[in-house]
Amino acid sequence: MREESVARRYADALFLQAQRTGTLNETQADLTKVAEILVATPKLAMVLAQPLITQQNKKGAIKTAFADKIRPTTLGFLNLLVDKRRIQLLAEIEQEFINRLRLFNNIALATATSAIPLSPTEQEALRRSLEARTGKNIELKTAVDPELIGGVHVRIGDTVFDGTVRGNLERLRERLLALR
Amino acid sequence: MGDIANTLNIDVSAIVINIIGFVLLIFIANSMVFKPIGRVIDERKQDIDQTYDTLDTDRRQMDELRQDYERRLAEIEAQAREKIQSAIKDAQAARDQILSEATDRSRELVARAEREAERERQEAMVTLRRQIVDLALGATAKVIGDGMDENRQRQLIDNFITSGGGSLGPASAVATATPITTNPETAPAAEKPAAKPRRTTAKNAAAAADAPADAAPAAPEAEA
Repeated sequence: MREESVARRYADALFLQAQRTGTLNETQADLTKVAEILVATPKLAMVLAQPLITQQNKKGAIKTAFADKIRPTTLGFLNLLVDKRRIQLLAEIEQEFINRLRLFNNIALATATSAIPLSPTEQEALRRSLEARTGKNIELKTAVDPELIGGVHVRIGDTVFDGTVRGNLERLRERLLALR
Repeated sequence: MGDIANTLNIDVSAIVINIIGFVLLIFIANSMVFKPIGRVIDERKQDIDQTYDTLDTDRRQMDELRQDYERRLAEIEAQAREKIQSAIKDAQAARDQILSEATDRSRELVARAEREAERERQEAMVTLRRQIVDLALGATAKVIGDGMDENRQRQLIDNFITSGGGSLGPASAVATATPITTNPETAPAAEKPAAKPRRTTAKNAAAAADAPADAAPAAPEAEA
């Protein structure tokens, strides 16, 4: 919980800096690129996470790996994380940054789960429907769970729209169990 | 006189001498024997009297002591009786208290056992009901799943998209997109065409939990 709070503060600072310079999308792209590279090269991630390696060496590794791929501002931010020994929070910071950016752009992330894959047409219709419901731009992610039997289950943050057969059966079960 | 004595052949001088001798003998005996013996007898008598006095004194003291002992024994016996009576009363009180406590405890145990039995009965009822409900709904889900084809899936998805397009229904507006056609108990709910999805938030999840008859429980994701 504390690390989440720390990550949120760093993400807020980076967001304000990017907002001030008008490079929100570029910064997000940089962070996404850094995350992808770290996932693709676990050794680099291990080097950054290793406390016995000096900060200078970590900075050198970051420069070698990212200097020609991300902007200098983002590179400086990574060096700052190394200096503050917070580089291990990079994934959380990226997520917090993306959340802030979505909020800034009035975008809500919706996860739609259905028993069968949604067609592109259905996805578009669902996105428009959810936008009408929430008044926000919807970034739709889909997932398939045959256990739902039928219908769609949509989660937007803490809000859940459950139109699945499984959900209905569960609610019916709760009603039956609540009967005296 | 002298003639008579001669006639009787009595020697007066001898008589006188004998008398003198007898008197001397008495005097000597008195001084040598009778007086010491008398003194001894007197001393002995005094000693005996003194012994008797001592005996009387000792007897009196003994009597006093005996009376004192008897009195003290009586007191001790009275005290002992009082103590015994007190102990008996205490024992009776303790017995009554123990009996009362035992009775209360036994009642409490019985009441607790009854409550426990009632609770277990309720738990058994709940478990039984849950098992029955799970069994019925499991069979229902199986039947629905078996009867679910792609067209029906698409129809449910379309219902979800179209029915909830405009409004954000309350938590009690449970989605009824389930096309239940094989279970007669749930068929009416499945026949409702407007599949209005249920919107559940972390806030209204609590309200939904408080109104089990109308509102379905919150989704676990929302509670999380």
